[in-house]
Amino acid sequence: MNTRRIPSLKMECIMLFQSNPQSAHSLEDLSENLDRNEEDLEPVLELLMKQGIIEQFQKAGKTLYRYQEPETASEFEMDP
Amino acid sequence: MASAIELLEKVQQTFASQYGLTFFLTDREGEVLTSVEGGNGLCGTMLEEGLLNEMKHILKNDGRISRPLIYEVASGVHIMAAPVINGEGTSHYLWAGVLVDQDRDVDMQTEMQGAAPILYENNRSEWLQLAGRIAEVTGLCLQQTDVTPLSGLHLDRLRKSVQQHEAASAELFSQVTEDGGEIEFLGIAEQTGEDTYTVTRIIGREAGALRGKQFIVGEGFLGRTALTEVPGYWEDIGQDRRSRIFASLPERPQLLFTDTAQAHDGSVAVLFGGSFSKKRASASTKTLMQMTSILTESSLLVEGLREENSQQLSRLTSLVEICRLMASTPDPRRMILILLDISINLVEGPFSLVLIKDNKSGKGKLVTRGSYEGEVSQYVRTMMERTRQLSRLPEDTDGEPYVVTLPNGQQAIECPLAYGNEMQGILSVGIDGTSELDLQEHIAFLQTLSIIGGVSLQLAGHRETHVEEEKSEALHLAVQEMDEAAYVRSKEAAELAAVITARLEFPEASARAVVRACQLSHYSSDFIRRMFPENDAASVMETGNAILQHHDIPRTDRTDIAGYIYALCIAYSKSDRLEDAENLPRIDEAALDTFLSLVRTTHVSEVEFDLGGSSKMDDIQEIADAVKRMDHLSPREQEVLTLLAEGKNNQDIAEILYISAHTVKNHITKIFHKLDVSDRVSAISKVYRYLHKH
Repeated sequence: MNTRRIPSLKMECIMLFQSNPQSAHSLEDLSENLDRNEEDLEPVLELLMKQGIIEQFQKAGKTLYRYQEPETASEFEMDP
Repeated sequence: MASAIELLEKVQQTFASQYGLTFFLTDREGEVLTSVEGGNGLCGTMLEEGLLNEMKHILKNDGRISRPLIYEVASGVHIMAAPVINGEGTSHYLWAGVLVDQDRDVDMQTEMQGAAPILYENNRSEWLQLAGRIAEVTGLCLQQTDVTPLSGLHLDRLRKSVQQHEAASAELFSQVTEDGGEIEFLGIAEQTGEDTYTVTRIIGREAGALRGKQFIVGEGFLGRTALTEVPGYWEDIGQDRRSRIFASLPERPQLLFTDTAQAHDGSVAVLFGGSFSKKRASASTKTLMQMTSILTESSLLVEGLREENSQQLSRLTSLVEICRLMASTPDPRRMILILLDISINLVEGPFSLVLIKDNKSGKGKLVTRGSYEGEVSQYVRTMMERTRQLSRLPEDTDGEPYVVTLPNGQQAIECPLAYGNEMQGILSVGIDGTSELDLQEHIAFLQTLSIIGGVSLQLAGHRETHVEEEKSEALHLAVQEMDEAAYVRSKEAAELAAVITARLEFPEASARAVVRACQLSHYSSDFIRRMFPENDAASVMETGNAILQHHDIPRTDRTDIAGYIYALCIAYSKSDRLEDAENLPRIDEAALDTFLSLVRTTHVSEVEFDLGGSSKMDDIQEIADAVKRMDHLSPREQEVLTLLAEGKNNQDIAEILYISAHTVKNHITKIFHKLDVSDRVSAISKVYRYLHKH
């Protein structure tokens, strides 16, 4: 079977979080901004959280998601 | 026959809707027999502009077309021709078009979007297969004197389902089974395992329970067809054990047809149909089954092609969005994050990482998303070795992505982030159990992504460097206003420092810090630190000043060597006496040797060659030819050197070549380095020596 897929919804989600790295979004906001069902979005958000690209947190009783920068960032000398 | 032509036109309309192509039938001489069906705008325009004459020309000159072919009728525009076999030989030709090249220019594709399907290198054979299949249907229609089997089909309904992007095969199956004819059920089984097929679509009275049933290749009637790929027809099989897959139904079929259909991804599906009540099929039912088989295969192909087109469109949209996002952020770090997040999601591998040169600090920087199994520093070392400290594209890659095996045994796609031959860094994306087909698609997407990344990072870096360069230049010019002699001295020192650091292969950022420290030696190091907080110029100056005051500095790192070079250049430019430089505490022998050989060579060169005299040579072509023979220079460096030898200054060269004066300066430094000279005079003299020697 053909399993080739370009995960367009994932791409759209990443672009949205990348464009607004400081903002937090609820599932409803994301559903409205991306014009997608919440049911379609939930597995995508799960995957992005698993990859560490976004994180989930609670604020005023609401579940929100925001962009998370990579943890690893190291510098090293470059010899001439 | 008229009804057969009408029927043909309806069939063509249906296919035209499915594929976005225009279809028509001609005789062997190219005279059009059916109406031209389809909404391919570009094809319509081209037909008005004489495409038919072109086709007649093809038929006249290419003789018989014995198999489906694709002709390029205009640059990047193609039409398909397939022979229609009627009886013994080719009686007609079916034409379908037009397809547009994948790399035809963007405006053209946008203009024709939705009208002209795109011909990709990897879907060429599928288009040809499709044209061949439609020609087969056409041949069958032309053979039919009794057109009942097909005329029973409501082609308008079928076309509508196609236009609405529904599964055309479902509509087709419904019509065939609902007509009250001999075919009471129709189904498709698709390969779901190495030897296993599963019934995925089924339509017909009381046959729904078959959905999901599996059979093994070679087992029963269906398994036999999957194995041999030969159409089958069996009568009176109610008691035959080979029909046991139907055992779950209230009754077993008496009559069974089977055939195979190739799907878009190359897999073979088994098409089957039959009757529970009739034990034998009439001739027209056999023809109907044959037609249905062809139409089903076409439907499966179009579903695949449509899916691929939608994937291509989705990729293009993503890339446009990525470009937009990259262009809107001036921050290189954000660009790196975009590259990391997009690539790890595309490949769905364990990690993505970017190893990049930080031009500000002169250090390498590693940013990772996901988790790299094992010691990442070991992997970084191998990347640095392959790219010679991120200064060169890995050998034999041409800047394109490639697959490597990592020190931890995993595999990754490495994509150089470059601008021309100038390397910015590497994007590496771990891969995990990816099929070859997926891998090729990932590589293609990552190639585009890394090109966008390389260009964006270069532009962002240039913006920052450019601002610093301008600030540095302005401060240097201010010295000229205050103290002309100090300006000349600092300029000489900076020029010496530029060549020494290039010969010692200092990283760009470190070299820039030494040159800047020399240019701005008139200012205090505190002031320089305030002006250029992210550049090492102030530290270089402080170390250099300590050496100038004969404080012994233990050599610990590159900043100390940089400070030593600063001290050598400043000491010499102040007094014009080599001893003053030689008498400084010796921090690094290589730096001192380079400095001494440079200063001595410069003296000799200045005595031996006269720039004014050289520039009088009027045969510019000879100079250009001599430079062209210096094949260790890049084409751009050759252009710059030719203009230099013609007596042009940096600004003139920049204007002639449409590049910045800063870039010209960079090229000249590289030329000096490659020719092993320290100044323009020596470079020009080398050209002349080359001219006379060869």
